[in-house]
Amino acid sequence: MIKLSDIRKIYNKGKSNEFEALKEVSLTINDGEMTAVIGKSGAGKSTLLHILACIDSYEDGEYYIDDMLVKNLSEKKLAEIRNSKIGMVMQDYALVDDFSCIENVLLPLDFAKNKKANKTELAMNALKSVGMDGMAKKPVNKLSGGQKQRVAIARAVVNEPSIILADEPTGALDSKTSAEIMGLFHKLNENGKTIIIVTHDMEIANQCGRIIEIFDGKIKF
Amino acid sequence: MKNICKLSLKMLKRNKLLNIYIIIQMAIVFAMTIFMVSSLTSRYHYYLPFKKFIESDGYFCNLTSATTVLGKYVQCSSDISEAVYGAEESNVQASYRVNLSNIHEDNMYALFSYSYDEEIYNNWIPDMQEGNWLSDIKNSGSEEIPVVVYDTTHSMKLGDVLEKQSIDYIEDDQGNGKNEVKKIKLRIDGILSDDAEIVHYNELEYGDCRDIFSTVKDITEREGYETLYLFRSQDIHSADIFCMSSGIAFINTNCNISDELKNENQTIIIGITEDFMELKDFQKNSQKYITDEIKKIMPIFLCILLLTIIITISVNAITTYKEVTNYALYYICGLTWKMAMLISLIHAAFQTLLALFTAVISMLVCYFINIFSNTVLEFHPLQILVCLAMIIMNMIFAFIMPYIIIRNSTPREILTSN
Ligand SMILES: Nc1ncnc2c1ncn2[C@@H]1O[C@H](COP(=O)(O)OP(=O)(O)OP(=O)(O)O)[C@@H](O)[C@H]1O
Ligand SMILES: [Mg+2]
Repeated sequence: MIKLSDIRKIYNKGKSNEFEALKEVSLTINDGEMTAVIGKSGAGKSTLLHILACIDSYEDGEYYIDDMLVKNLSEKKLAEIRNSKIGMVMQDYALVDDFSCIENVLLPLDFAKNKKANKTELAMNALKSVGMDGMAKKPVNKLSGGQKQRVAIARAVVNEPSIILADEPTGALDSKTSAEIMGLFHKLNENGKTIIIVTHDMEIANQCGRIIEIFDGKIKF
Repeated sequence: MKNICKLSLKMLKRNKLLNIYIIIQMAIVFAMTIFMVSSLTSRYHYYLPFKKFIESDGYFCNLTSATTVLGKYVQCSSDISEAVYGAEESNVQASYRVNLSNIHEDNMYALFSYSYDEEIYNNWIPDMQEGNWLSDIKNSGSEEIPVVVYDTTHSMKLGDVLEKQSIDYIEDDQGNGKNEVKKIKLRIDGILSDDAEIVHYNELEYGDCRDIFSTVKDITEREGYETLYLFRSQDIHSADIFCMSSGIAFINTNCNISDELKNENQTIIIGITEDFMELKDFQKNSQKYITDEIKKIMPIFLCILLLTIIITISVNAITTYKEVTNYALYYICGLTWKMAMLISLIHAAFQTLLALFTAVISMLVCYFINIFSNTVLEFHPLQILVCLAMIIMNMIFAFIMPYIIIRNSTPREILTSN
């Protein structure tokens, strides 16, 4: 379960270009929910997602993952959470460009606290689940956008995290490829994963069980 | 940990061209540093071997062959120490002209041959073309006297046995003098190279440690000999060959003797030779020569030091800027920043080792194909120390550079800013 209470995010605090991107956001997302986060450009959607992914800080408020107060966690424990509890899919894929598909997917397995013996097999399975097993050895900078997004999803799921966060995963893709990618998220959701997708595409949002709209850094009800 | 090393290696492979460039750059800096330290330490080259003598009380002398002390020729160091107050036998180290000539020749000193006291040949080992220097000669117990030669005709070979003679002038009871000829066998144990420098007195040209040495080529040319023969004093004595002090002598006196005795010593020394210096002055001059030389190269040395620091910083800044996005990606996948810094550190370690390896290999290659024959290149513990310091500096920067760049930004900022 994810719980945010009164989260405030201020960029450039104390400087002349100070900007409050999130204003007292409170939110609860239950396990197994598939949620869409929508809102205008600049509303704070990505900011929210990055905080949820434990890769950005916030000024005020409390964030709990499975009843753990994130603020109190050590750097090491946080890394462990990013590694095993959360799978993150970024809008621009965020892959290591000159690694092959499998090398990218192996990263979370390499960083895992509990080392698994069959890493290559697990990585291949993850690639298979997104239909990319045929290109495992190919460097990702030779792939198309849709293929990159699949590899990014494979990397996000390879450690079997319970939460998957995706920032505009279909933003750069044509509608056919978008539908295929959404199919993957649906399948993951059916397998019990909590899924949060940031999108500005209402068609995508409507496929999710729940829609949260952000407006000017606040959740709109 | 294995995975961290794996990622560091991948990082090395990734920016191949940049890495090769950086490694070459670092190798050049290493080479420059090694040369620089060489030229710093080489200033002590003429000082260190006889430091113990130079820094004691006493005299640095040039003795001529005809030197007599207490009415007899100086044949060994005790002949001098017996005459000088506060000097023991072991405190006098000299070189001697040896009485040798070719068979059937009646000129007593026809061969250009010298012998050295133990501490002189032990403390200075000249460049050998082949074979052993006097200090490395094993006593074989054979009759043949080991000799190290410099042969301008290049016709002598290692292991050759030469037959020579020594002529002694003896008087019988009636006072009739006659020459007694003794046959001597010499075995060539070492051959000096053309640019070998040996302990050999020339003149008090500088009044410092440079005066102790001359190159064999110069000596033979100046004196007009084809061959130079060098012996250990003890071999000459045990073969009962006549010799006379000639050339350099360090006479160390006990520093606790009274001023009166010191003055007396001075008178004695003047009686022996006019060509001498008090070691105190000799030491002062030597020190001044060294500091002057070092002062000359100090600016270059400082520039290289500065250059090294700047290169180290920029190399690490470039590498980190290139890799910081990947560090952020690793972070998202569950790596701590600390581990990312470790990747950077290990990467830098590989880089530096490769650079050091490149530097040493290329210097050795240059050394063996003789590009640097006129350059000073010495391998000292100091060089290793300086290289180690450079490596450590590089590692420190490799470790803190990601920290400096990452410190004020979150991974998402790093990702979005690129
Ligand atoms: N590093 C930053 N410094 C200052 N302001 C920032 C920074 N990052 C984001 N912002 C601002 O915070 C606000 C929210 O940004 P965010 O990226 O969360 O918007 P978004 O809803 O994801 O928009 P989009 O749909 O365009 O991706 C924006 O007004 C943006 O200008
Ligand atoms: Mg966004």
